[in-house]
Amino acid sequence: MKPIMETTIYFIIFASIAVLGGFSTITRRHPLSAALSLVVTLIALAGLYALLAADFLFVIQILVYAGAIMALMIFVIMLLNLKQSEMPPEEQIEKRVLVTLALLAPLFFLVQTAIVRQFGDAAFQPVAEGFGSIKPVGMLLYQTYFLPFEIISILLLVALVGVVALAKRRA
Amino acid sequence: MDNLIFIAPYLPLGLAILSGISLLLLQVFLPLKQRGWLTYVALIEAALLILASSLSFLLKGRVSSLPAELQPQAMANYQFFSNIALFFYLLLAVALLATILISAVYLEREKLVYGEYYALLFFATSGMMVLVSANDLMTLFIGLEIMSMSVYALVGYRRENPWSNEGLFKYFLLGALASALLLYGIALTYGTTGTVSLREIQNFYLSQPIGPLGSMGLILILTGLGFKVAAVPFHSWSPDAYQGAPLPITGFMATAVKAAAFALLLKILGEGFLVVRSYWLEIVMVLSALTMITGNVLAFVQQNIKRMLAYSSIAHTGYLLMGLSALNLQNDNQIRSAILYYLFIYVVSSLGVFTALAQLSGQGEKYQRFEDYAGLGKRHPFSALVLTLLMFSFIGIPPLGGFFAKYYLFSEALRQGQGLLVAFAIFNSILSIAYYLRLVVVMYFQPDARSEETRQSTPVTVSMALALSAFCTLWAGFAPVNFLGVIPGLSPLVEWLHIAAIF
Repeated sequence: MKPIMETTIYFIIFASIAVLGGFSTITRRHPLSAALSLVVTLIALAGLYALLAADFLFVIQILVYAGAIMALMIFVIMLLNLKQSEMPPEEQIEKRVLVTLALLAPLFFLVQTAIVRQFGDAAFQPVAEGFGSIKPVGMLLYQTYFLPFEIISILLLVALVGVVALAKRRA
Repeated sequence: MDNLIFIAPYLPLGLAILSGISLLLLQVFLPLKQRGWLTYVALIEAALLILASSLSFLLKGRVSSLPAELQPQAMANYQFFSNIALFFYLLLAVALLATILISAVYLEREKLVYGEYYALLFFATSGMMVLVSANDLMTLFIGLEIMSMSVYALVGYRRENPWSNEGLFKYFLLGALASALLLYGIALTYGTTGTVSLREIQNFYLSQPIGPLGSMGLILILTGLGFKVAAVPFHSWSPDAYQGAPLPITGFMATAVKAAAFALLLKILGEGFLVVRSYWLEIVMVLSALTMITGNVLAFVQQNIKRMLAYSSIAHTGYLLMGLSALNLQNDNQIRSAILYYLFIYVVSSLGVFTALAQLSGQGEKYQRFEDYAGLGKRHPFSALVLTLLMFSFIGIPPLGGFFAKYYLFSEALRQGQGLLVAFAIFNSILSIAYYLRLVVVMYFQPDARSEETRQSTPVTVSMALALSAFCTLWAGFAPVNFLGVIPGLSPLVEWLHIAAIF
């Protein structure tokens, strides 16, 4: 049996935090606690990037996802100012979560088995020098994946226009 | 001038995006009273889009002969000049123009604001253009999302209408689930092969077995795409979304969105995963058979024409899936061109049907049921005639385009040894006579229920669109005979499609 490496322990810690955060995001009733649970998940993911020595991704994950985007989401939730009584009733939430978990368990088992089968004894090479730092990420975005990177701006614009078209008050 | 040729492949996509943005900006600066001008601008831009698509087809041969320094490096991976993309550019641009033509009358009648409507249509088209020209899974996914997002918003455009909201929500939630499944599948595929490029995925699977994770990724991708093309059992959103959407948008979904989704399937199954055909073949065959029979049986019991057309569109998805199941590694077969030809005929005739319905359904789309169309043959003889023609084409009655589309597709599938499935498809085509003919019978042989109502005249644009659709359907049917030698025969088209189908 291989000795458990230090990084493996960190990985297990971060991964568990991320999964727990995700679980609590979908089970909390109040939108604000759900959003805050999502922050926990995103920070745990940033920790996983740090484990990969991807420093640029780590910083961006904290700044953009856990920082900017979540701040925006929390602003929106607080602006809406939903009261507990105004929210739609969710009956038997524990029961539904349990049923969903029971239904998803075989799928999880399947993916788990497949990963172990395929990569169980595979030897991985260490990532290239500078992986996940500014220069390689920039090269990927502006050279290899230039077109999809630029096209995403249209996707964001469409989402924005669509929301306005569906939600704005009409005279 | 030659220095500018390298722009040509990006012209249609660029123009679609620019048109969308220009329409958005224009409506800000136009006073409320003059918003009607947006329609004309949109029409002109759609016509320009058709021109640009034709232009990029004509310039096709000249770009690859350019010196390397004139071809932009970052874009070299994205083969915007693949023949199949050019075919879809034209098809999408035509569908867009027809949709705008119908919408012009429709928006005015329903008192819907012009605002973002045309811009979203153009953005949807640009997403489809990305989709049909992309060559890696990431770009494909982004194109698909641009298309889906715009169509979600358009489906829910009549916000006061509860059906519209229901359709929007079902479509949006299931669409988001489908995207998540698709993305998970792409992630697993990337984990196995280490690449997102379709060509490299194919090369990888040529030399190595697919492995458990890879096959799981493939199945998840298929499931996600099954939702997008509304294959049974992933079809539940489709009738509600079709019914809730404004009629021009229903037409757009049945034509452009469906064509783009099949372009995507053709790319993923026909290029990236063709070598592992044995893994997906049976899934696609079962999906195809289920989709055909469910679509046809459920279309028969509908009382609402929009829902009937939704199920009929599901049935046609089944026939097209059968075509996909006949894809094989040898490039000598014509199954790809048969699929493209089928899509072409289906798009052209569906556009006609939805044009007629958008006009006939009346204020607030109140005439959606079969009995509302009783006596239409007397009230609107021309529309009724065109509708009859198109219904016959959908069934596949011999001298019409629909027959040759089906004949071509079925015979090519038969040649690839899909005998059982083809027999089932023919049986299904016979079933479909029941509900297509029902509309014809109602139109001509049932007494007029509301003869007292003032008859409204049909606008010229609608008549023109109807005539064009009917002409295309007839031409595609009679052209093989090539009588009198006046109109060019069908064989050039089929030949062109055959060239287009080679990647």
